[in-house]
Amino acid sequence: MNRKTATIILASITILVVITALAPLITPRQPKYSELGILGPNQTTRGYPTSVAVNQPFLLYGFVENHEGNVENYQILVKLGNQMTIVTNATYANAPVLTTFWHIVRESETWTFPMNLSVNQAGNNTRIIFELWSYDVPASNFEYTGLWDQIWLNVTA
Amino acid sequence: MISTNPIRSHEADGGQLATANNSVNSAFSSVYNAEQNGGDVTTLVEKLNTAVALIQKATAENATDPNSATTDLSNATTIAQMVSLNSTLVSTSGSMARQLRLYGALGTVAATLGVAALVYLRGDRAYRRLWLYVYRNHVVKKSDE
Repeated sequence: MNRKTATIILASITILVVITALAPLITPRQPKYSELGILGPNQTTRGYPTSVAVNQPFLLYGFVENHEGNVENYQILVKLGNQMTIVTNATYANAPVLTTFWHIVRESETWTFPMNLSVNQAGNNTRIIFELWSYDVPASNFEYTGLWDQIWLNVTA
Repeated sequence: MISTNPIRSHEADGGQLATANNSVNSAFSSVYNAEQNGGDVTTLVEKLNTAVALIQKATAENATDPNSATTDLSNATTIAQMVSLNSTLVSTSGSMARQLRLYGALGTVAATLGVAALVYLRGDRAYRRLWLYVYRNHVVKKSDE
């Protein structure tokens, strides 16, 4: 083995060891996002109620996943809307908050929870709107994440 | 209307409910900062979720059992305050662990570079000395003998 080859091998081993030593200090950049889902009574994306009687309880499940890279303080606001209610990824619904579900979720963890709901007034095309809010630490306030979901219901008398 | 009572955490609500809500949110900020500093916040999050569950229970039972609701809110506030206190310790230990990791990594890098430099500068001599030591009793013979 000549000196040049030995130097190359030595340099390669040195670089490898240095990279291995520094790798744990470098956090890989990954996309940050949250997920919101509303599941049916069997915790699947089937079996959503479309028609219920007034005050008839029905079961749904909420599903939230945290990939924000840190612990998150989530609230799901359930709002009662109708055809005229406007809700987008940028604007939350200007509708009465009927109930709130609240949980703190660590990074890469999922929060699945039952929601026992009932509606006490009749109406066609009633919208149950689910909005995901998260706590903004610098602002010390809950802020709308832009994630929302809904189910349409005909509520019979 | 949906029959479940709302938790009015978004409103500037007075009283014990607002105190409990604010305590939990303040504790969350401490937990968030502790995690940012490298602390393991698993236990703190579990405790904070216990406080959240107590607040939700209190909100649900407020109309039927206000005394229990008051107790639950008080317990939730106490838990949140404990979480805030403990998160300082978690944050400090996280910072120290992170610094140790940093120093450990930098030490490894420095040692590796030092050893590599020594091998580069003195490796030849050391190799030859080692060779001579290993083969000190070796008798060289002609191959055609």
